[in-house]
Amino acid sequence: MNRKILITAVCGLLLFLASNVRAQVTFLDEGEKVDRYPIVTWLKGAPIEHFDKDKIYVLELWATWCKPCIAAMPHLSALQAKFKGQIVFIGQNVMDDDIEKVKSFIAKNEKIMSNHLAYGGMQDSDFSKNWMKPSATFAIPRTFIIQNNTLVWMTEPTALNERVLQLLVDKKFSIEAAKKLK
Amino acid sequence: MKHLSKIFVLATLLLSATGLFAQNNFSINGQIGNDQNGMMTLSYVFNQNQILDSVAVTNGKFSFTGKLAEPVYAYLMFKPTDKKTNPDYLEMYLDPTAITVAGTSKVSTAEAKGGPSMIEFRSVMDAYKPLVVKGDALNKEMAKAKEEDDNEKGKEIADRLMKLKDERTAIQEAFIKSHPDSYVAFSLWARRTQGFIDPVKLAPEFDAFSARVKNTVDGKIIAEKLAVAKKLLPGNVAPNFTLNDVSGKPVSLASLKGKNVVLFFWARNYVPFEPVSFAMNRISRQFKDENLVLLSVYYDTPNTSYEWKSVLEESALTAANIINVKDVALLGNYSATDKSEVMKVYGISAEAGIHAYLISPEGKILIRAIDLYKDPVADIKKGLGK
Repeated sequence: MNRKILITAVCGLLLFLASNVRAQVTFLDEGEKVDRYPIVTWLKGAPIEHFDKDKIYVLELWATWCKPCIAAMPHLSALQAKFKGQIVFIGQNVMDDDIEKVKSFIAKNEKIMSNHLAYGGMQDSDFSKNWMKPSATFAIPRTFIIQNNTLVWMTEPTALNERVLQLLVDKKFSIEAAKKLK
Repeated sequence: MKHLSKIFVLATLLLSATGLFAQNNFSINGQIGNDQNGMMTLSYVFNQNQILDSVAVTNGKFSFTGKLAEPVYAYLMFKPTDKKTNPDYLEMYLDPTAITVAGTSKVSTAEAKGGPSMIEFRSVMDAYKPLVVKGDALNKEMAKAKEEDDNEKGKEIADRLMKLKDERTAIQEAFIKSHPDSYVAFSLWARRTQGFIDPVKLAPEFDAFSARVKNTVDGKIIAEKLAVAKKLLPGNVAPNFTLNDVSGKPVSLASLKGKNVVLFFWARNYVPFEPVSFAMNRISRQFKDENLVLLSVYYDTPNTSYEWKSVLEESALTAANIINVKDVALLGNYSATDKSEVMKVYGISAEAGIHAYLISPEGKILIRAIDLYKDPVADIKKGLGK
Protein backbone atom coordinates (compact mmCIF):
# COMPACT_ATOMS: atom_id res chain seq x y z
CA MET A 1 0.00 0.00 0.00
CA ASN A 2 2.72 2.38 1.00
CA ARG A 3 4.68 1.46 -2.06
CA LYS A 4 1.71 2.26 -4.27
CA ILE A 5 1.43 5.71 -2.78
CA LEU A 6 5.11 6.25 -3.33
CA ILE A 7 4.90 5.18 -6.98
CA THR A 8 1.93 7.46 -7.55
CA ALA A 9 3.84 10.30 -5.93
CA VAL A 10 6.89 9.65 -8.10
CA CYS A 11 4.76 9.50 -11.25
CA GLY A 12 3.09 12.73 -10.24
CA LEU A 13 6.48 14.33 -9.74
CA LEU A 14 7.69 13.15 -13.15
CA LEU A 15 4.59 14.52 -14.82
CA PHE A 16 5.07 17.79 -13.01
CA LEU A 17 8.68 17.98 -14.17
CA ALA A 18 7.83 17.05 -17.73
CA SER A 19 5.21 19.77 -17.98
CA ASN A 20 7.73 22.33 -16.77
CA VAL A 21 10.60 21.35 -19.02
CA ARG A 22 10.55 23.28 -22.25
CA ALA A 23 13.14 22.94 -24.93
CA GLN A 24 15.60 25.77 -24.39
CA VAL A 25 16.23 27.98 -27.39
CA THR A 26 19.98 28.04 -28.03
CA PHE A 27 20.25 30.00 -31.26
CA LEU A 28 18.02 32.73 -32.60
CA ASP A 29 18.93 34.49 -35.82
CA GLU A 30 17.25 36.00 -38.86
CA GLY A 31 15.51 33.18 -40.74
CA GLU A 32 14.86 31.06 -37.63
CA LYS A 33 11.39 29.85 -36.74
CA VAL A 34 9.85 31.36 -33.62
CA ASP A 35 6.72 30.01 -32.03
CA ARG A 36 6.59 30.41 -28.27
CA TYR A 37 6.86 33.79 -26.59
CA PRO A 38 9.12 33.42 -23.53
CA ILE A 39 7.45 33.58 -20.12
CA VAL A 40 7.18 37.23 -19.09
CA THR A 41 4.96 39.35 -16.85
CA TRP A 42 2.43 41.19 -19.01
CA LEU A 43 1.75 44.70 -17.76
CA LYS A 44 -0.48 45.95 -20.56
CA GLY A 45 -2.52 44.32 -23.31
CA ALA A 46 -3.62 40.70 -23.72
CA PRO A 47 -0.78 38.27 -22.87
CA ILE A 48 0.98 36.80 -25.91
CA GLU A 49 2.09 33.20 -25.43
CA HIS A 50 2.56 32.20 -29.06
CA PHE A 51 3.29 34.14 -32.20
CA ASP A 52 0.34 33.91 -34.57
CA LYS A 53 1.37 32.71 -38.04
CA ASP A 54 -0.83 35.31 -39.71
CA LYS A 55 0.32 38.29 -37.68
CA ILE A 56 3.25 40.68 -37.95
CA TYR A 57 5.07 41.64 -34.75
CA VAL A 58 7.44 44.47 -33.92
CA LEU A 59 9.17 43.42 -30.71
CA GLU A 60 11.01 46.30 -29.14
CA LEU A 61 13.41 45.82 -26.22
CA TRP A 62 13.67 48.69 -23.75
CA ALA A 63 14.67 49.59 -20.20
CA THR A 64 13.82 52.49 -17.91
CA TRP A 65 17.49 53.55 -17.90
CA CYS A 66 17.97 53.27 -21.68
CA LYS A 67 17.87 56.79 -23.09
CA PRO A 68 17.96 55.89 -26.80
CA CYS A 69 15.11 53.41 -26.16
CA ILE A 70 13.00 56.14 -24.59
CA ALA A 71 13.93 58.58 -27.34
CA ALA A 72 12.61 56.08 -29.92
CA MET A 73 9.23 55.61 -28.21
CA PRO A 74 7.28 58.49 -29.81
CA HIS A 75 8.46 57.36 -33.27
CA LEU A 76 7.37 53.76 -32.61
CA SER A 77 4.02 54.70 -31.12
CA ALA A 78 3.30 56.88 -34.18
CA LEU A 79 4.00 53.83 -36.39
CA GLN A 80 1.80 51.74 -34.11
CA ALA A 81 -1.09 54.17 -34.64
CA LYS A 82 -0.49 54.20 -38.39
CA PHE A 83 -0.50 50.36 -38.66
CA LYS A 84 -3.30 49.75 -36.18
CA GLY A 85 -4.90 46.34 -36.81
CA GLN A 86 -2.06 45.32 -39.14
CA ILE A 87 1.02 45.06 -36.93
CA VAL A 88 1.30 44.11 -33.25
CA PHE A 89 3.77 46.27 -31.31
CA ILE A 90 5.31 44.78 -28.16
CA GLY A 91 7.37 46.87 -25.77
CA GLN A 92 9.42 44.25 -23.96
CA ASN A 93 11.18 45.60 -20.90
CA VAL A 94 14.55 43.96 -20.20
CA MET A 95 17.55 44.49 -17.91
CA ASP A 96 15.48 46.24 -15.23
CA ASP A 97 15.60 44.63 -11.80
CA ASP A 98 12.65 46.44 -10.22
CA ILE A 99 9.22 45.73 -11.67
CA GLU A 100 7.67 48.55 -9.61
CA LYS A 101 9.98 51.06 -11.24
CA VAL A 102 8.92 49.71 -14.64
CA LYS A 103 5.24 49.98 -13.71
CA SER A 104 5.59 53.60 -12.62
CA PHE A 105 7.55 54.43 -15.80
CA ILE A 106 4.69 52.98 -17.85
CA ALA A 107 2.11 54.90 -15.85
CA LYS A 108 3.90 58.15 -16.73
CA ASN A 109 4.70 57.39 -20.36
CA GLU A 110 1.84 55.19 -21.53
CA LYS A 111 0.90 57.58 -24.35
CA ILE A 112 4.18 57.06 -26.18
CA MET A 113 4.42 53.30 -25.58
CA SER A 114 3.28 50.07 -27.22
CA ASN A 115 -0.17 48.61 -26.61
CA HIS A 116 1.48 45.39 -25.39
CA LEU A 117 3.94 45.86 -22.58
CA ALA A 118 5.77 43.17 -20.65
CA TYR A 119 8.39 42.88 -17.93
CA GLY A 120 11.14 40.38 -18.77
CA GLY A 121 13.48 40.38 -15.76
CA MET A 122 17.19 39.90 -15.34
CA GLN A 123 19.76 37.29 -16.45
CA ASP A 124 18.01 34.21 -15.11
CA SER A 125 14.63 35.10 -16.59
CA ASP A 126 13.01 33.03 -19.30
CA PHE A 127 13.20 35.96 -21.70
CA SER A 128 16.92 36.39 -21.14
CA LYS A 129 17.66 32.68 -21.50
CA ASN A 130 15.41 31.99 -24.47
CA TRP A 131 15.62 35.25 -26.41
CA MET A 132 18.45 37.57 -25.45
CA LYS A 133 21.27 35.05 -25.07
CA PRO A 134 20.38 32.93 -28.14
CA SER A 135 20.28 36.10 -30.25
CA ALA A 136 23.46 37.45 -28.59
CA THR A 137 21.59 40.58 -27.51
CA PHE A 138 23.67 42.54 -25.02
CA ALA A 139 22.82 46.09 -25.96
CA ILE A 140 19.52 47.88 -26.38
CA PRO A 141 17.56 49.32 -28.09
CA ARG A 142 17.08 46.32 -30.34
CA THR A 143 14.10 45.52 -32.52
CA PHE A 144 12.93 42.12 -33.74
CA ILE A 145 10.48 41.76 -36.62
CA ILE A 146 8.48 38.55 -36.75
CA GLN A 147 6.30 37.48 -39.68
CA ASN A 148 4.98 34.08 -40.65
CA ASN A 149 6.42 32.57 -37.44
CA THR A 150 9.88 33.58 -38.60
CA LEU A 151 12.30 36.10 -37.19
CA VAL A 152 12.81 38.16 -40.34
CA TRP A 153 14.97 41.02 -39.07
CA MET A 154 17.06 42.05 -36.07
CA THR A 155 17.49 45.78 -36.22
CA GLU A 156 17.06 49.01 -34.27
CA PRO A 157 14.05 51.31 -33.92
CA THR A 158 15.59 54.09 -36.03
CA ALA A 159 15.68 51.70 -39.02
CA LEU A 160 11.88 51.43 -38.99
CA ASN A 161 9.65 53.73 -40.98
CA GLU A 162 6.26 53.60 -42.73
CA ARG A 163 7.70 52.30 -46.01
CA VAL A 164 9.61 49.49 -44.28
CA LEU A 165 6.53 48.37 -42.35
CA GLN A 166 4.44 48.60 -45.53
CA LEU A 167 6.78 46.01 -47.10
CA LEU A 168 5.76 43.61 -44.32
CA VAL A 169 2.06 44.32 -44.78
CA ASP A 170 2.42 43.80 -48.55
CA LYS A 171 4.31 40.53 -47.91
CA LYS A 172 7.28 41.90 -49.86
CA PHE A 173 9.72 42.17 -47.00
CA SER A 174 13.42 41.42 -47.35
CA ILE A 175 16.30 42.84 -45.30
CA GLU A 176 17.95 44.21 -48.46
CA ALA A 177 14.76 46.01 -49.49
CA ALA A 178 14.28 47.39 -45.97
CA LYS A 179 17.83 48.68 -45.78
CA LYS A 180 17.34 50.61 -49.01
CA LEU A 181 14.40 52.48 -47.46
CA LYS A 182 16.42 53.91 -44.59
CA MET B 1 86.48 10.53 -23.45
CA LYS B 2 88.11 13.66 -24.77
CA HIS B 3 84.93 14.59 -26.55
CA LEU B 4 82.92 14.02 -23.44
CA SER B 5 85.08 16.28 -21.36
CA LYS B 6 84.81 18.99 -24.04
CA ILE B 7 81.06 18.77 -23.89
CA PHE B 8 81.24 18.84 -20.12
CA VAL B 9 83.33 22.01 -20.17
CA LEU B 10 80.97 23.61 -22.64
CA ALA B 11 78.00 22.69 -20.49
CA THR B 12 79.67 24.11 -17.41
CA LEU B 13 80.41 27.32 -19.25
CA LEU B 14 76.82 27.60 -20.41
CA LEU B 15 75.53 26.85 -16.94
CA SER B 16 77.74 29.43 -15.32
CA ALA B 17 76.78 31.95 -17.99
CA THR B 18 73.08 31.49 -17.27
CA GLY B 19 73.97 31.35 -13.60
CA LEU B 20 75.61 34.77 -13.78
CA PHE B 21 72.73 36.05 -15.81
CA ALA B 22 70.19 35.02 -13.21
CA GLN B 23 72.10 36.22 -10.19
CA ASN B 24 71.95 39.96 -10.53
CA ASN B 25 70.98 41.17 -7.10
CA PHE B 26 69.02 44.25 -6.24
CA SER B 27 68.07 45.86 -2.97
CA ILE B 28 65.44 48.41 -2.06
CA ASN B 29 65.78 50.59 1.01
CA GLY B 30 62.69 52.62 1.69
CA GLN B 31 61.91 55.47 4.01
CA ILE B 32 58.51 57.08 3.53
CA GLY B 33 56.44 59.10 6.04
CA ASN B 34 57.02 58.23 9.73
CA ASP B 35 53.28 57.77 10.20
CA GLN B 36 53.12 54.95 7.59
CA ASN B 37 52.71 51.49 9.17
CA GLY B 38 51.50 48.34 7.49
CA MET B 39 52.52 45.87 4.81
CA MET B 40 54.50 46.63 1.61
CA THR B 41 54.33 44.22 -1.32
CA LEU B 42 56.78 44.30 -4.22
CA SER B 43 55.49 42.75 -7.44
CA TYR B 44 57.61 41.92 -10.52
CA VAL B 45 58.34 39.13 -12.97
CA PHE B 46 61.50 37.01 -12.74
CA ASN B 47 62.12 34.23 -15.30
CA GLN B 48 58.45 34.33 -16.33
CA ASN B 49 57.26 33.92 -12.74
CA GLN B 50 55.25 36.58 -10.97
CA ILE B 51 57.09 37.38 -7.73
CA LEU B 52 55.14 38.84 -4.82
CA ASP B 53 57.38 39.75 -1.89
CA SER B 54 55.88 41.28 1.27
CA VAL B 55 57.55 43.00 4.23
CA ALA B 56 56.36 44.99 7.24
CA VAL B 57 56.59 48.79 7.16
CA THR B 58 57.45 50.27 10.55
CA ASN B 59 57.44 54.03 10.95
CA GLY B 60 57.82 54.34 7.18
CA LYS B 61 60.87 52.07 6.97
CA PHE B 62 61.08 48.94 4.79
CA SER B 63 63.56 46.98 2.67
CA PHE B 64 63.66 44.25 0.01
CA THR B 65 66.35 42.18 -1.66
CA GLY B 66 66.00 39.93 -4.68
CA LYS B 67 67.36 38.65 -7.96
CA LEU B 68 66.81 39.89 -11.48
CA ALA B 69 67.57 38.44 -14.90
CA GLU B 70 67.41 41.94 -16.34
CA PRO B 71 65.81 45.30 -15.51
CA VAL B 72 62.09 44.85 -15.04
CA TYR B 73 58.86 46.75 -14.40
CA ALA B 74 57.66 46.50 -10.80
CA TYR B 75 55.29 48.15 -8.39
CA LEU B 76 55.09 48.65 -4.68
CA MET B 77 51.70 48.25 -3.00
CA PHE B 78 51.25 49.55 0.52
CA LYS B 79 48.45 48.23 2.73
CA PRO B 80 48.16 50.34 5.86
CA THR B 81 47.49 48.65 9.22
CA ASP B 82 44.61 51.07 9.54
CA LYS B 83 42.01 49.30 7.40
CA LYS B 84 40.07 52.51 6.76
CA THR B 85 42.89 53.92 4.62
CA ASN B 86 43.04 52.70 1.01
CA PRO B 87 46.07 50.82 -0.38
CA ASP B 88 48.59 53.00 -2.21
CA TYR B 89 50.91 52.25 -5.14
CA LEU B 90 54.21 53.27 -6.71
CA GLU B 91 55.27 52.12 -10.19
CA MET B 92 58.97 51.66 -10.81
CA TYR B 93 61.70 49.85 -12.73
CA LEU B 94 64.15 47.59 -10.96
CA ASP B 95 67.79 47.58 -12.00
CA PRO B 96 70.27 45.13 -10.45
CA THR B 97 71.59 47.73 -8.03
CA ALA B 98 70.89 49.48 -4.73
CA ILE B 99 67.58 51.33 -5.02
CA THR B 100 66.18 53.89 -2.61
CA VAL B 101 62.56 54.90 -2.16
CA ALA B 102 62.37 58.19 -0.28
CA GLY B 103 59.41 60.31 0.75
CA THR B 104 57.77 62.08 3.64
CA SER B 105 54.20 60.79 3.30
CA LYS B 106 52.44 58.11 1.18
CA VAL B 107 54.38 55.72 -1.05
CA SER B 108 52.69 57.05 -4.21
CA THR B 109 54.35 60.43 -3.65
CA ALA B 110 57.80 58.97 -2.84
CA GLU B 111 60.72 59.05 -5.28
CA ALA B 112 62.51 55.87 -6.37
CA LYS B 113 66.18 56.23 -7.38
CA GLY B 114 68.97 53.91 -8.51
CA GLY B 115 69.86 52.55 -11.92
CA PRO B 116 69.39 53.88 -15.45
CA SER B 117 65.97 52.25 -15.99
CA MET B 118 64.42 54.17 -13.13
CA ILE B 119 65.74 57.44 -14.60
CA GLU B 120 64.28 56.62 -18.01
CA PHE B 121 60.96 55.58 -16.56
CA ARG B 122 60.77 58.80 -14.57
CA SER B 123 61.43 60.82 -17.72
CA VAL B 124 58.39 59.19 -19.35
CA MET B 125 56.27 59.75 -16.24
CA ASP B 126 57.36 63.40 -16.13
CA ALA B 127 56.37 63.83 -19.76
CA TYR B 128 52.95 62.38 -18.90
CA LYS B 129 52.45 64.75 -15.95
CA PRO B 130 50.81 67.70 -17.78
CA LEU B 131 48.42 65.20 -19.40
CA VAL B 132 47.51 63.71 -16.02
CA VAL B 133 46.64 67.19 -14.72
CA LYS B 134 44.50 67.90 -17.81
CA GLY B 135 42.88 64.47 -17.56
CA ASP B 136 41.91 64.98 -13.92
CA ALA B 137 40.31 68.32 -14.79
CA LEU B 138 38.39 66.76 -17.70
CA ASN B 139 37.16 63.88 -15.54
CA LYS B 140 35.73 66.43 -13.10
CA GLU B 141 33.99 68.25 -15.96
CA MET B 142 32.66 64.90 -17.18
CA ALA B 143 31.19 64.08 -13.77
CA LYS B 144 29.48 67.48 -13.77
CA ALA B 145 28.10 66.99 -17.30
CA LYS B 146 26.69 63.62 -16.26
CA GLU B 147 25.07 65.16 -13.21
CA GLU B 148 23.49 67.83 -15.42
CA ASP B 149 22.47 65.18 -17.96
CA ASP B 150 24.22 67.21 -20.68
CA ASN B 151 24.89 64.66 -23.44
CA GLU B 152 26.38 67.16 -25.89
CA LYS B 153 28.92 68.34 -23.36
CA GLY B 154 29.66 64.74 -22.33
CA LYS B 155 30.50 63.83 -25.91
CA GLU B 156 32.69 66.87 -26.34
CA ILE B 157 34.63 66.03 -23.15
CA ALA B 158 34.95 62.39 -24.24
CA ASP B 159 36.52 63.62 -27.50
CA ARG B 160 39.01 65.74 -25.56
CA LEU B 161 39.86 62.77 -23.33
CA MET B 162 40.49 60.63 -26.43
CA LYS B 163 42.84 63.33 -27.75
CA LEU B 164 44.73 63.26 -24.44
CA LYS B 165 45.10 59.51 -24.80
CA ASP B 166 46.52 60.05 -28.31
CA GLU B 167 48.99 62.58 -26.91
CA ARG B 168 50.06 60.02 -24.29
CA THR B 169 50.54 57.39 -27.00
CA ALA B 170 52.61 59.88 -29.03
CA ILE B 171 54.89 60.56 -26.03
CA GLN B 172 55.34 56.83 -25.52
CA GLU B 173 55.98 56.26 -29.22
CA ALA B 174 58.62 58.99 -29.33
CA PHE B 175 60.33 57.54 -26.26
CA ILE B 176 60.33 54.02 -27.71
CA LYS B 177 61.75 55.21 -31.06
CA SER B 178 64.52 57.25 -29.44
CA HIS B 179 65.56 54.49 -26.97
CA PRO B 180 66.28 51.31 -28.98
CA ASP B 181 68.65 50.00 -26.30
CA SER B 182 66.37 50.67 -23.33
CA TYR B 183 64.72 47.96 -21.24
CA VAL B 184 62.04 50.47 -20.26
CA ALA B 185 61.23 51.34 -23.87
CA PHE B 186 61.16 47.65 -24.73
CA SER B 187 58.83 46.68 -21.91
CA LEU B 188 56.45 49.56 -22.76
CA TRP B 189 56.45 48.38 -26.37
CA ALA B 190 56.07 44.72 -25.36
CA ARG B 191 52.57 45.44 -24.02
CA ARG B 192 51.49 45.63 -27.67
CA THR B 193 52.44 41.99 -28.18
CA GLN B 194 49.84 40.52 -25.84
CA GLY B 195 46.97 38.59 -27.32
CA PHE B 196 46.51 38.01 -31.00
CA ILE B 197 49.32 39.86 -32.77
CA ASP B 198 49.89 41.25 -36.25
CA PRO B 199 53.49 40.38 -37.23
CA VAL B 200 53.40 42.64 -40.31
CA LYS B 201 53.11 45.68 -38.06
CA LEU B 202 55.07 44.45 -35.03
CA ALA B 203 58.08 42.64 -36.53
CA PRO B 204 59.74 45.84 -37.91
CA GLU B 205 59.14 47.57 -34.57
CA PHE B 206 60.78 44.63 -32.75
CA ASP B 207 63.73 44.63 -35.15
CA ALA B 208 64.43 48.28 -34.35
CA PHE B 209 65.53 47.34 -30.81
CA SER B 210 69.17 46.54 -29.95
CA ALA B 211 70.47 42.95 -29.75
CA ARG B 212 70.93 43.33 -25.97
CA VAL B 213 67.24 44.10 -25.51
CA LYS B 214 66.06 41.48 -28.02
CA ASN B 215 68.05 38.79 -26.19
CA THR B 216 66.31 39.29 -22.86
CA VAL B 217 63.94 36.58 -21.60
CA ASP B 218 60.95 38.62 -22.79
CA GLY B 219 62.70 39.51 -26.03
CA LYS B 220 63.19 35.85 -26.92
CA ILE B 221 59.58 35.02 -26.11
CA ILE B 222 58.35 37.83 -28.34
CA ALA B 223 60.71 36.84 -31.18
CA GLU B 224 59.26 33.32 -31.03
CA LYS B 225 55.69 34.67 -30.96
CA LEU B 226 56.37 36.83 -34.04
CA ALA B 227 57.95 33.88 -35.87
CA VAL B 228 54.86 31.72 -35.17
CA ALA B 229 52.49 34.51 -36.22
CA LYS B 230 54.40 35.06 -39.50
CA LYS B 231 53.88 31.42 -40.45
CA LEU B 232 50.13 31.89 -40.03
CA LEU B 233 49.74 34.82 -42.40
CA PRO B 234 47.42 34.31 -45.39
CA GLY B 235 49.06 32.27 -48.16
CA ASN B 236 50.82 29.87 -45.77
CA VAL B 237 49.80 26.25 -45.34
CA ALA B 238 47.76 25.80 -42.17
CA PRO B 239 49.80 23.54 -39.84
CA ASN B 240 48.27 20.09 -39.63
CA PHE B 241 47.21 18.49 -36.34
CA THR B 242 45.11 15.58 -35.15
CA LEU B 243 42.73 15.71 -32.19
CA ASN B 244 39.91 13.49 -30.99
CA ASP B 245 36.27 14.27 -31.66
CA VAL B 246 33.30 13.80 -29.32
CA SER B 247 33.23 10.05 -29.91
CA GLY B 248 36.98 9.73 -29.36
CA LYS B 249 37.77 9.33 -33.04
CA PRO B 250 40.92 11.13 -34.28
CA VAL B 251 40.29 13.91 -36.80
CA SER B 252 43.11 15.64 -38.68
CA LEU B 253 42.97 19.00 -40.40
CA ALA B 254 44.61 17.37 -43.43
CA SER B 255 41.70 14.92 -43.76
CA LEU B 256 39.44 17.89 -44.57
CA LYS B 257 41.35 18.78 -47.74
CA GLY B 258 39.02 19.50 -50.61
CA LYS B 259 36.77 21.57 -48.37
CA ASN B 260 36.91 25.11 -47.09
CA VAL B 261 37.49 24.97 -43.35
CA VAL B 262 36.64 27.50 -40.68
CA LEU B 263 39.15 26.55 -38.01
CA PHE B 264 37.85 27.86 -34.72
CA PHE B 265 39.84 27.82 -31.45
CA TRP B 266 37.82 28.53 -28.35
CA ALA B 267 37.13 28.04 -24.66
CA ARG B 268 33.92 28.58 -22.71
CA ASN B 269 35.16 30.97 -20.04
CA TYR B 270 34.94 34.13 -22.16
CA VAL B 271 32.44 36.79 -21.14
CA PRO B 272 30.17 37.37 -22.92
CA PHE B 273 30.50 34.07 -24.73
CA GLU B 274 27.12 34.11 -26.49
CA PRO B 275 28.18 36.42 -29.36
CA VAL B 276 30.88 33.87 -30.19
CA SER B 277 28.60 30.82 -30.23
CA PHE B 278 26.03 32.93 -32.10
CA ALA B 279 28.62 33.77 -34.77
CA MET B 280 29.62 30.11 -35.16
CA ASN B 281 26.00 29.03 -35.47
CA ARG B 282 25.34 31.77 -37.99
CA ILE B 283 28.31 30.60 -40.09
CA SER B 284 27.12 27.00 -39.81
CA ARG B 285 23.60 27.84 -41.06
CA GLN B 286 24.58 30.31 -43.75
CA PHE B 287 27.09 27.94 -45.34
CA LYS B 288 25.29 24.66 -44.72
CA ASP B 289 24.78 24.00 -48.43
CA GLU B 290 28.32 24.93 -49.40
CA ASN B 291 31.63 23.10 -49.46
CA LEU B 292 32.56 24.32 -46.00
CA VAL B 293 33.02 22.70 -42.60
CA LEU B 294 33.72 24.17 -39.18
CA LEU B 295 36.49 22.52 -37.23
CA SER B 296 35.93 23.61 -33.66
CA VAL B 297 38.88 23.08 -31.29
CA TYR B 298 37.79 23.36 -27.68
CA TYR B 299 40.01 24.13 -24.67
CA ASP B 300 39.36 23.38 -21.05
CA THR B 301 40.44 26.16 -18.71
CA PRO B 302 41.72 25.86 -15.14
CA ASN B 303 39.24 26.12 -12.27
CA THR B 304 36.05 26.04 -14.28
CA SER B 305 33.20 23.59 -14.06
CA TYR B 306 32.42 23.65 -17.79
CA GLU B 307 32.18 20.21 -19.30
CA TRP B 308 32.91 20.05 -23.03
CA LYS B 309 29.92 18.01 -24.21
CA SER B 310 27.37 19.97 -22.20
CA VAL B 311 28.95 23.22 -23.41
CA LEU B 312 28.41 22.02 -27.00
CA GLU B 313 24.74 21.33 -26.22
CA GLU B 314 24.27 24.64 -24.44
CA SER B 315 25.83 26.61 -27.29
CA ALA B 316 24.10 24.51 -29.98
CA LEU B 317 27.37 23.83 -31.77
CA THR B 318 26.02 20.49 -32.95
CA ALA B 319 25.06 20.98 -36.61
CA ALA B 320 26.18 18.48 -39.26
CA ASN B 321 28.82 20.83 -40.70
CA ILE B 322 30.54 21.34 -37.33
CA ILE B 323 33.28 18.92 -36.29
CA ASN B 324 34.03 19.26 -32.60
CA VAL B 325 37.45 18.23 -31.31
CA LYS B 326 39.18 18.95 -28.02
CA ASP B 327 42.80 19.69 -27.27
CA VAL B 328 44.46 17.89 -24.38
CA ALA B 329 46.19 20.94 -22.89
CA LEU B 330 44.58 23.47 -20.58
CA LEU B 331 44.24 27.03 -21.82
CA GLY B 332 45.58 29.38 -19.20
CA ASN B 333 48.95 27.88 -18.33
CA TYR B 334 51.60 30.33 -19.35
CA SER B 335 54.84 28.42 -19.47
CA ALA B 336 55.92 27.00 -22.82
CA THR B 337 56.28 23.48 -21.43
CA ASP B 338 52.57 23.27 -20.60
CA LYS B 339 51.57 24.05 -24.18
CA SER B 340 50.35 21.40 -26.57
CA GLU B 341 51.72 21.11 -30.11
CA VAL B 342 48.56 22.76 -31.47
CA MET B 343 48.96 25.67 -29.06
CA LYS B 344 52.59 26.12 -30.11
CA VAL B 345 52.09 26.09 -33.87
CA TYR B 346 48.95 28.25 -33.74
CA GLY B 347 50.28 30.68 -31.09
CA ILE B 348 47.40 30.03 -28.74
CA SER B 349 47.47 31.55 -25.27
CA ALA B 350 44.83 32.58 -22.78
CA GLU B 351 44.77 36.17 -24.09
CA ALA B 352 44.59 35.02 -27.70
CA GLY B 353 42.19 32.19 -27.03
CA ILE B 354 39.22 32.69 -29.30
CA HIS B 355 40.02 33.09 -32.95
CA ALA B 356 38.99 31.67 -36.29
CA TYR B 357 40.82 31.00 -39.56
CA LEU B 358 39.45 30.43 -43.03
CA ILE B 359 41.35 27.71 -44.89
CA SER B 360 41.14 26.89 -48.60
CA PRO B 361 40.38 23.40 -50.01
CA GLU B 362 44.15 23.12 -50.71
CA GLY B 363 44.90 23.72 -47.03
CA LYS B 364 46.16 27.29 -47.37
CA ILE B 365 45.24 30.04 -44.93
CA LEU B 366 42.86 32.55 -46.55
CA ILE B 367 41.97 34.59 -43.46
CA ARG B 368 43.95 34.59 -40.22
CA ALA B 369 41.39 36.34 -38.03
CA ILE B 370 37.71 36.21 -38.94
CA ASP B 371 36.04 38.93 -36.89
CA LEU B 372 33.47 36.91 -34.97
CA TYR B 373 31.97 39.97 -33.31
CA LYS B 374 31.25 42.06 -36.42
CA ASP B 375 30.13 40.31 -39.61
CA PRO B 376 31.85 36.92 -39.89
CA VAL B 377 29.64 35.81 -42.79
CA ALA B 378 30.73 38.82 -44.86
CA ASP B 379 34.38 38.14 -43.91
CA ILE B 380 34.15 34.54 -45.10
CA LYS B 381 32.32 35.43 -48.33
CA LYS B 382 35.07 37.94 -49.08
CA GLY B 383 37.73 35.34 -48.29
CA LEU B 384 36.07 32.89 -50.68
CA GLY B 385 36.00 35.58 -53.36
CA LYS B 386 32.20 35.81 -53.39
